[in-house]
Order: sequence, then C-alpha cells, then structure tokens
Amino acid sequence: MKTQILTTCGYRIAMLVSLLIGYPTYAVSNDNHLFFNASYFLQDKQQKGIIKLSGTVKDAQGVLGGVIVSVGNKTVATDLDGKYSIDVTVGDRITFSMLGYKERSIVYSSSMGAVLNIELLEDTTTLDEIVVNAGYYTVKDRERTGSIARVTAKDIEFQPVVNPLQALQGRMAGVSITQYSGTPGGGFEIQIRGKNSLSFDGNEPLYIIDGVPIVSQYLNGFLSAGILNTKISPLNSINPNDIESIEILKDADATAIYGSRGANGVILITTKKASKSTTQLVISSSTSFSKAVNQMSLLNTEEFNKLREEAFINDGITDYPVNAYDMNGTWDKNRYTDWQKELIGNTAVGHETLIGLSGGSQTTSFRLNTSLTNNSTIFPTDKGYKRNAVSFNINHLGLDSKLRANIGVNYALQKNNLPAVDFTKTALNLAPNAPALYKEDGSLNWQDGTFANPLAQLDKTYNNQTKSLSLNANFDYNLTSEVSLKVNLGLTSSEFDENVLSPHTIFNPGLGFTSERSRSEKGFVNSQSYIIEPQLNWQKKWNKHSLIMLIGSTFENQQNNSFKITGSNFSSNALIKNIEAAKVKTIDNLTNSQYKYAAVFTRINYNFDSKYIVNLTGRRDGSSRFGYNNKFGNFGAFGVAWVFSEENYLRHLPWLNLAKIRSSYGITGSDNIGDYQYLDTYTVNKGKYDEITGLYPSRLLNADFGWEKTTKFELALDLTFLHNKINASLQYYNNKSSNQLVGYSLPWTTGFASITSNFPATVVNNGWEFTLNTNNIDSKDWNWQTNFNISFPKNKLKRFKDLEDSTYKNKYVLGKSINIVKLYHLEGVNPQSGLYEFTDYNQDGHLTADDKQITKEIGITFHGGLQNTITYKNLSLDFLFHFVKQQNYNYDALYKYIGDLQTNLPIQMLDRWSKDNIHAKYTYASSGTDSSLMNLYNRYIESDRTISDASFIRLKNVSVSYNFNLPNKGIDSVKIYIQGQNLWTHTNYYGLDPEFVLLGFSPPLKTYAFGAQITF
Amino acid sequence: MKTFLLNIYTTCLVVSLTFFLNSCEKLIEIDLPDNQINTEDVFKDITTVKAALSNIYFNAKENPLFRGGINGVGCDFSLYTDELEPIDKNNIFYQNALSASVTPVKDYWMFAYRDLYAINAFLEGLNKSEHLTEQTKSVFIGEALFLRALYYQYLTQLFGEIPYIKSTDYKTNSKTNKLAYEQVLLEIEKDLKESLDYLTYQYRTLDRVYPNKAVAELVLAQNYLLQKKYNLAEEFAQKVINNTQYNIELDIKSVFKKQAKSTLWQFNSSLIDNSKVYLPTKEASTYIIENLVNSSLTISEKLFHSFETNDLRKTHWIGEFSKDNKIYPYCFKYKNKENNTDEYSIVFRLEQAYFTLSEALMYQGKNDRAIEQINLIRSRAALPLIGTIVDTQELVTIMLQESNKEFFCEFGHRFFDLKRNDRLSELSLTKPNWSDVNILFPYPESELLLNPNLLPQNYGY
Repeated sequence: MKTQILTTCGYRIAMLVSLLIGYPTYAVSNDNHLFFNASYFLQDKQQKGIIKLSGTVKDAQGVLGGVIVSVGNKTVATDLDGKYSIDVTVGDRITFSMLGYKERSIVYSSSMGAVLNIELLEDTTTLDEIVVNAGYYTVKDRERTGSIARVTAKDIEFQPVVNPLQALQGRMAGVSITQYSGTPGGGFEIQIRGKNSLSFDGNEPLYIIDGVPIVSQYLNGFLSAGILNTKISPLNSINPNDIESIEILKDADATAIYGSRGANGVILITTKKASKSTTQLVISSSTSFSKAVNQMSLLNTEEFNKLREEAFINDGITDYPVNAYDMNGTWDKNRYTDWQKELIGNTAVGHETLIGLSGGSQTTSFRLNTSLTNNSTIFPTDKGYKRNAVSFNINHLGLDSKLRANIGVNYALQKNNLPAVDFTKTALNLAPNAPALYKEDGSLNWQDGTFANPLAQLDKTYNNQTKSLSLNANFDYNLTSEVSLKVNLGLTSSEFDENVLSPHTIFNPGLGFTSERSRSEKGFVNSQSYIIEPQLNWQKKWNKHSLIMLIGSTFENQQNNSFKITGSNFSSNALIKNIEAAKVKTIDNLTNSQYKYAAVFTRINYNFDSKYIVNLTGRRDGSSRFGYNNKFGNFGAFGVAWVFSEENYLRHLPWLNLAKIRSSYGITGSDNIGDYQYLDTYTVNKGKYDEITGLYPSRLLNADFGWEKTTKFELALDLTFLHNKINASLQYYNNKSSNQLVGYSLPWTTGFASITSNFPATVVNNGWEFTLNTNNIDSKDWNWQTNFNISFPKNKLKRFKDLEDSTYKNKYVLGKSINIVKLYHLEGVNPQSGLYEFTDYNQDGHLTADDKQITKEIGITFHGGLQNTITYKNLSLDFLFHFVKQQNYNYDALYKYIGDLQTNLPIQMLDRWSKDNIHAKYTYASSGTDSSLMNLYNRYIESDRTISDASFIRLKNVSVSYNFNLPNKGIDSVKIYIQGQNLWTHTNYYGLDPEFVLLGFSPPLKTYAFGAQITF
Repeated sequence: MKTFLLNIYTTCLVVSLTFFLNSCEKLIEIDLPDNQINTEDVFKDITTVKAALSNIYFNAKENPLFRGGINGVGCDFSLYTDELEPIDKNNIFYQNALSASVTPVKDYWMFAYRDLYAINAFLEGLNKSEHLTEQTKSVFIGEALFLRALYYQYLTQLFGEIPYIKSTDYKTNSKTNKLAYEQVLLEIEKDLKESLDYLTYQYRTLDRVYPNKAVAELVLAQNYLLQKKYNLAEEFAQKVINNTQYNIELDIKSVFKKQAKSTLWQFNSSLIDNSKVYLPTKEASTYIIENLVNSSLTISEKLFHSFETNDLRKTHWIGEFSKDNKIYPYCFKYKNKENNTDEYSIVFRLEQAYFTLSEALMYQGKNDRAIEQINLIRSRAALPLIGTIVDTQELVTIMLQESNKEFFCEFGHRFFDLKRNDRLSELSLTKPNWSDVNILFPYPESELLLNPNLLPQNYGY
C-alpha cells in the first residue's frame, strides 16, 4: 500500500518534472520565441576570424579543473586536467575565474596563437567569490539577499569537541548555544535569534546534513534523564573534522524556502567532499585532558560542624536524634573530604585518531575518512563515550561533463557507558565530614547503613549505543547551458538502544535488599526516513540581466518504532543484563509513529548588473501532523539587495569594495508538535489491573490546530573596505511569531496539564547583530585576522488575546519578555527574629502566589565572540573569547536548610542570622524541625534572590599549530597543534558555572589537547 | 503550429500541477500507531471497555488518595496526625508544614482530577455507545459512578470546596468554579445513589477486586455521616452489616489476608511473572522495618501506649525492631515484604461499617446500640467490653480511640474521624506545629494561577 503510494507519487513527480524540463528546452531550441531567447537577439553573430583557443590552467600546486573560462557570452569550464578550449576572435576579453582564486582577464591578440596557458593565484580574501550554501541553491556572498552565517572547516577542525555545535559557540552572530551537560555525548540548547516558542522543544532549528534533514526529536531516550539531561544531540553522529562548512540560515529570505520548518532557523551542514584527483593520505591523532571548568567554595568540616551545633541549639534539641550521625557519634565528625575532587574531579581523557584517503581520476574522485573517538568523564569511573565513524564520498563527472553526481555515506557507531546519575549535585551536597568511600578492605563503606555511599551509584549504569547511517545522493544534470535538473535523495536510519542497570547493591545494605530488588531497563528507538527532492533550475543572462528560477518538490517519510521494557526481581545480579531472567517484566512502551511531509517550493532571483537584486521564495507544505482541515500551509519571502558600491558615483572609490543594503520580509512556520496530536484516541498502558491491560485517553482533543507562523523582517548593511581588509555587517531583525503551536497550559481540573493548540499571542523577537572581520596584517610572513560578532536579542510579548481571561494571566505580562519569572520579593532577614521577610504586595497578611509580583527575566542581553588568528610563516595562533551578558538562576535556587546533615553549603551561607549577626543575608540554622522555617524556605527558593547575573567572558578556544612542509621526504606536510578549551573565565556568577541550561548537571570542561596531522 | 504546441504544453503543465497538488492529500496520509485506538472504537467492544476501566483502577491504586504505602493517604495522614514518627523528622506531613507550592499537595489534586477525567470520559463514551446493550453497560457505569463519588468524597475532605467536574469539556473545566462543601456532598450522594441502581451485590470476580453494591452502600453511609443525616447513615451501614457475604474475621491474623470474609473491596496485587507469587503490597514495603534508615516510619509513642494490655491487635498488627536497646515499633498489618502469596491491599472492610453504624447511632442518642458495635470489635481483640456510657461526647472519645487502634495507618482514618467529629484540635497536644490551618489542604498554587476562579485560597495558606 505504502509502496504503491510512493510509486504513483514518484511517477507523478517524474511526469511533472519532465514537463517542466521539456517546456523551456522546447522554448530555447526555437529561435523566435520571444522571452527565453532574448539573448539570441543581443548576441553578436559575427562569424569572422574565429580561432579555437585551447590551453591549460594551473595554480601553484598543479592543474586546475573547473575553472570558468568566458569570452563574451560563451563560457566553458576546464576539465580535471585543467584543459579548456574556446572560440575567440582578436580583441575578445578572456576571463578565467574560480572560487578562491584571483580572476584573470586577458585581451586576445593574434600574436597569442592557438594555445594560452594560464596560472591562477590563490586568493583567500575575495569576498566576491565566496559562495554560500543556501540549501536548495547556492549564492555568491556578494549577491545574497538573505541572512546566512557561515563557519568553515578552518574553525571547526582539530577542536577537542565531540559535537560540532560545541565548536560554534561564540562564533556566529545571533546564534546562542549552551551545553546541557559537560558529559560527552549529550545535547545542546540552541537558539537562533532568540526564543520564538514557549514550548521546551519548540525552538529546535531544522538540521540538514548534505541535503538530508535529520530527525532530531527521536533521539531523546527513555533513560538518559539522570546523566545527559534527556537530550542527545543528533549531531553527535558526525565527526566535526568531516565538516566542510556550517551555514545557519536566519532570516525569512533564507528560511522561507524551508517553509513550515524554517521558523527557528535552519542549520546546513556540508561535509567534506572529494575534490582532488591526486591521491592523498591523511593521518591525524590527538589526545585531550579535561577537568570541570570550575569548583564551588564550600564549607569545610569546622564550619560545617559549627552550623550543625548551632542548628540543634536553635531548635532546642539536646538529645540528638538517631539520624544525626555526626552529632551522636556514629560518624567521626572531624573527617574532611573534598567531595568535588572525589566525585567530579577526575581528569577526563580523550583520544581521537583519523585516517583519511582521497584520490581519483579525471572524472571520478573519492574521499574516505574514518575516525575513532574516545572520551572519558570527570566522574570517578574510566568509562565514557566512544565513536567510530566512517564517511565516504564519491564525486563523478560524466556524460560530457553534463552530469555531476555526488554520493555520500556516513556511518557512525556511538557507545556511551556512563553512571546513570550525574554526581555533580552529590558532590556539592555531601557533608564534608561524611564517612570514607571505601573500607580498609577496599569494599564500599556504608558506615553500618548510616551513610548513603554515593559511589554505590556507580553500579547503576547507563549505556547507550547509536548506529546511524545516512546516505545521500545528489545528481545534477545540465540539460542545456541554461537548464539543469537536480535530484536529491536521502535515506537515514538510526538505531538507538540504551539500558540502565540498577543492581540492588546501589541500596543501603541495611535495607536488606537482595537481587530481588535489582532492576534492568532497556529501551530501543529505531527511526528510518527517506527524502526525495527533484528540482529544476533555469538561469539566463542577457546584457546586464540575470534571472534564476528554481522549482522543486519534496517528499519525506519518517518512521519510528520505540520499545521499552523493565525487568526486576532477579535471582542473581549476574543475570541482570538479561531481562528474560527477571521475574517481573513490564513493557513500558511499544509505539510506532509515522510522519509524512510533502511540499513544492520555488525561487525566482533577478539580478540587474550585480547591483539590484530581487529574490522571491515560496513553499507550499503539507504535513501529516495536522488535522484534516489544516494539512496544508503556504510560506514565502521577498528579499532585495542594492549593491550601491556598484553605482557609478561610488564605483571608482578605491577604498570601497562593497556596500550593500539588503532587506527581506516573509513568513515561515513550524510543525514541531509531535505526531498524531489531532487524533481522538485511547493509548495502551503498561499497567495492568487484575491482569487486564489498560487503555487511557491519549490527550485532550483539539483537532483544529493549524500552522504556526512566524513573520520575519530584516534590514542589513554590508560593507567591505580597503581591499577587502575590513568587512562589516550590521543587521536588524524583527520576527513575530503568532499562532504558535504549544501545549497550552490548563489547570488540572481539565484532566491534563495542557492541550496542543495555537497560542493566541504574538511574540516579538527583535535585535541587532554586528559582525566585523578585519585583516590587520597581510604580508608574506605575517598574517593577522580578527573576527568580532555581537548580538543584542530582545524578546517581547506583544499581543495576547484575552490575556486577563486566560490561564496565562499570572505568567505573562504584555510588553515584557516571555522569559520572565514572577517571584516573591525578599526584603531580607528580620534582625529580631532571624526569619526571612517577603513583601506582602496584596497586604492580606499571607504570602500567597498573588504576592509574586517581582518579575525577573532569564535570558541574554547580549552575546558575542572575538576571535584572532595570527600566523607567522607556518606557525599559527588562534584564540576565541566568548562573552555573554545574561541573568539566570543561581545556587540559592537549589538551597536547602542551613544546618542539615544532608547538605553542605557554599561559604556565602556562613552569613546566617544569629544573635551576634543580626544583619545577615541568610536565616538561622536549623536541623529541619522548625516548621516556621520550612514554609519560608519554600518561598525563598521562589524569591528574587534566586535569579542573578550570570554573565561571563570565557576564553573558549585557543589553538597553536605549526605546519612543516616536507615535500621531498615522502610526506607532504606535518602539522602539530595544541588546543585549549575554556581555559579562562571571568564571571561574578554565584554557583558552579554560569554556562548551563538546568542546574545540577556537570559543568563545561576545561580541556587541553595535543595532536598532529601527517599528510602523505 | 508552434502556438498550438505551446498551448498543449501549457495545458498539460497546468493539469499535471493540479493533479500533483491534489494527490498531496494522499501523499501525507498516515496510519494510526499500533498502540492507539480510536475513541469511538474503544466503546464498541466489551474487551476494550474493560481495558479502559482497568486503567482507571490501575491509576486509582497508584493515586495518592488510595495508595497503600509511601506518598499515599494512609502513610501521609498517619504522619500528619499522631500515628507515625519518621526517623528523618524533616517531613512536611509530620511537621504539618504544607504549603501551596509543594509537590505532595499538587499530587493529591492533580492525579485525582486526571483520574476523574478518565472516569468522565469513560462514562461519556459508554453512554454514547450504541454497540453495547444497556445490560452489558450497567455494571461498568455503576462502577464508574461509584469511583467518581469516592474520589470526590476524599478530595472534599482534604480541600473543602472543590469543583465537581462531570464532563470532559476542557473549555469549561479550565474555568470551573468551586462548589460549596455541602453541595459537593449532595453531588456525591447523587452519584452514589445512581450507582446503586446499576451495581449488584454480586462481585465481578471472586477475589473482590472490583467494588460492588455493598461498597457503594458503605461509602453512602459515610457520606450521610458527613452530612450529619444519621438515620440514613444508620440505614445504609446496617445494610452492609446485614449482608451475609461478609463476616468479621474472628481470627485477627486473617483480617489482612486476601481471602478475608470481612473485605468489601481490595486492590489486586500484580502477579510476578510465571509464578503464584504477588508483588508485595505497598503497605508491607513501606512500614516493615528491617533496619533503621532515614525513611523508616515508627508507630508513635502515643499510639503505642494507647493499646490496653493483651490487645491482640498490638500483638499481631505491630512489629518491633530493636537496635541499641531501643525498641522501634512499626505497623505490621501486612506481613509479606517478600514472597507474597496471600495479601492484597484492602480498601474497605466490614469493621468500617460497624464504626460507621456506631457513630450514626451515638449521634442519634442510641448509645447502647452504639456501644454494642464497638464491643464487637473489642471482643475480637480479646478486650473486656465497655459498659454503659450516657454522655455522647464521652462516647465519641471512646469511639475515636477504638477506631484509631483498629484502623491505624489505613487510608487516613484517624484524620477523617477527628475531622468529622470536630476533634482535630486534640492533635495540638502531641503535635507542636498543629494549628487550625491544617484542617484543610491548600489548593495547589499552580492551579490558582491557571484558574483564578478557584480563589480564594484556603485559610492560612
């Protein structure tokens, strides 16, 4: 059935495409058709004195294929041997051009004969010819109308990171990336131009690797919450060294062609392609050492004991209770252990080995890259993350150079063996005088069942394994010089399985548990997807006009199967890995889901004299995630650019290379809500009653939710001065999201916490972005470049229909950010009673939610990066500072009682109230029996003191490398390098580290890496 | 000629484009996932109807309002009143330090309304279904109505005024108002009476894991106690006692066994795969102390010392753990922490009917008959019988003491008894933090924020 749909569908697409192809071909081949053949009228048909000129184009290294040779309207390209041939007449200007090389023009004179060999010089600075990948098409940077940020291999490769997103931190304006946890193999929160959506998952951009969208939402496992904060980035499957460039599409002009999936921006990843015909072998290897970037200053034993004594005095307890182990003599209260050192102080070691081979013939070339990556963690275990990845790529040029085919395969096997819980919280909370971890005989010390030994948790393990395969094929066929047909095919398959083993030994032996309490959980998520995207391009140049049209369609199908099973009650822990041996087995989840997506899209680009550029994009989308009346949506954008430096009055200013104003406006959308949300169904539950399996109502029904729409506006100025030495860009954007798809919060009286629905509000994200790239020194030996970017994002709730009457009345305020939190205002500690005092705004004598009147915003005021690259001959130094001005939760949000045995505290909390210190910051100590304190603690963690400045400046990356050129030793070159990550931080943040998404997970790591690369 | 060709071409293009776009509908059609069933189909077949109801029982068993062990009404309210002492004193129930933003409070509210939605959806679906006969539907409708009433009877005793939701319409339910306590009781009475029409005395299964008509009668009798309609309470409690299916277990050791004749309704325990052994009851896992840890809960000294000498309940229902020459008594009604072959978690037992009857009688001045009921329970515990008592308040005091010894650590009896008889202030003698504020729970703060119609907050929070 499904195959049939596919076949008929494919058939229809083929029919449509063939018609589309046929039409212009037909038109072009007829001389008299007026529009498409305008050039024929304009063409000089002089046939006299034609000479067939041929030759070879080279660069310093050797022959150059693919160089564009043009004479008037005729263009040819050199083949892989650098050879070309073209008809010329005397007086013609012959131009040789290629990306990355300085263009050369020669006027043909009869003395030159029939052979002209040319050498092109490499040009690293020309902006003119930088071609940017915009997904379905490419565009010259100089002529682009949209907002596209770009980072290339140069900045990504060799960085000691597992995930490419990590290498992007601080490098792109408008792109904010935060790691969920410092543990390798986890995920990242990424926001492109602020937070559009209120839902947790709603801000994920669309990731496309070599034209194939990747399924991001399905990699969230069932069991990874404790250690990886649930989210596992799908980009973990790519070795950062395999990436050629990453482009981030930001505004409407760039994203509207992705229609319903472009609202949060699009991240395009292009992997390295085969290019050279000479055989090259590259071997590189590196080792890294990492530590937690920071430690908190906590109480030492003496201070802690003092607080404990004080706590019992304050509570009026003299007869210490049975569980006050430190006070009643069960423990040696004078011990001291630095738990941060013990539990999160390990040095994580990473190794990476890469072997790459590339080569080929004139028409076919290949590139094979394999990598082995290992990373351990900062926890007291030597296990960790492993990735073996292979990428293979073939390029083929055939059928008289009319067909270009590129086929790529990426396969990665990732394994992550971790403790099931992050030790960070324990390391911060554990009393400094808690007993030793091990007994003298080497076994775990439970101190007669009084000490919940944290290392027992090491026995509870989290393991996952991901096998991801991605196949992509791009075919580009030039039907005529003006019309080309492209087909992009993609196939992905990922198998993710994970397990958590919890043997009974993780429990206090005093509880008397046996292996009957052991548990074993296992989850699988498999997903498959394929995509077919035929596309037709037509371009025409005449006089100063240039017109490019593109029409294409997409069909995508994703399928997911997931399964989770829990086994408990084992006869022996030796059997724990085998769930079959469990006496109790529960299937917690067994689901499959399907997602289908179809679209037609188009782009029309008109360019007059490289001066005035108009770009129109449009897309009609259909998604299976919507109910019957709302399956289709239309999206589109309009972009213009005016390159005013090309105007006659500016043209001859020698210091001005480019001045461009561009602007765009358009609509993009999102269907990021999960599958089947519009259906009225019951779902099978794992739970049984009386041995009957249950069925529960799946959701509150809303069959009528429709597409979310985001309109984006952008105005930007791009300038290049002084022989391309200074590039500056200033951008202003204003994005309005309305009808957002969210889980609309409801009170529980409705039976659910939320309903999938369109949010009746308009959220505005606007801001400025500024980037500046300068080439400070560019001499034979010395080169110094600086890149600077800064972004000022702003968020505002502009409109909310009937806010006063909605469930969001108490959450949002019109005109303020959607990231605000309403809190109690802490006035301080009462000098007489020592209790916290909060403002009773409604003056009813009680502190209720109504008194949460102070609003604080969690979020970024500005962020950016400053990068410098200095090279002297073969020595290169690169460093990047990343800075963020923001507010976030501080350690007080995790705060518990002062004086509790379970909790060690930061030294700041020594400033607690006592008769001798009546003007204290914190309340008095208590062992937890003072109920008047209990209520105040709960209010304290919801007070304005828990949010404070979390700004920082961080030396994100430093790299020093040296390149030896040894062409005669059988080795081409050797590069050695040292890399550092997060080496230095300046912050006033109160807590472990200001770079976090949720409190309590492992902080980012400070890393030193050493490596070498040998090229044969 | 060329124009003609061109026209043909254009026509073809337009036709095929429309064709393509129309077929897009098909292109994005998907199948239903295997683990979901259309709501309409669920109520076409008796098997799926049973499955939908089974899930309601499964959730009820896990719901804080009915859960036997930790984080359930029995345990939380034993701490909240004066029955249990935790080793770790830092416990908000024990300290009577609830506030509107704490999780347990939210859980009591949220899971109740979650389950009530499922019950209402079940009733709507079943009533609408034309594929099942009225006779087939009857018992299921009766059980659902009974469950709805039961949830509300607990909720209203915790929170006071509450919304009485009977529909699944989220638009109205998200703005719902609270109903006065007396109104809620009347609504419960209505639901219970209606359920009596549908239910029968015959159990659906032999092991009494589904409520029958007698259970609904007992809950109705308790409802009348709350409404102070004592004659009606007497009538329905008496009906339960007169029912020949039930007998007081004379052997005190059999009361909490699965086969007990005194049981009206019990939650089924899951079988461990491929065996005849059940998972232990939550009560057994929670209360039995094998080693003193922070989560251990001991019987309070007050309760421990309130037992008369030779009270069989003290001998058989209280266990003792000793460490360092100190004795830590614990609730030992359920015995099987492992290898559970004969225990389910009992929700209602016949003894409750006797106490309900006794209370209904004493408030009508029928003291002698009231004492008769209490003596019946006392004699089973091998205690001497009580003589004549004239003063009603004195009798109430005795009844409360007896109830405490009989039902400690079960389903919040202590709290509900004291509350119904207006004696909660007695707790301030043993619980230093006890105040009038503690009579009601606070409404969860998040609920008040999302639906201001639920304001005002309960007194003191």
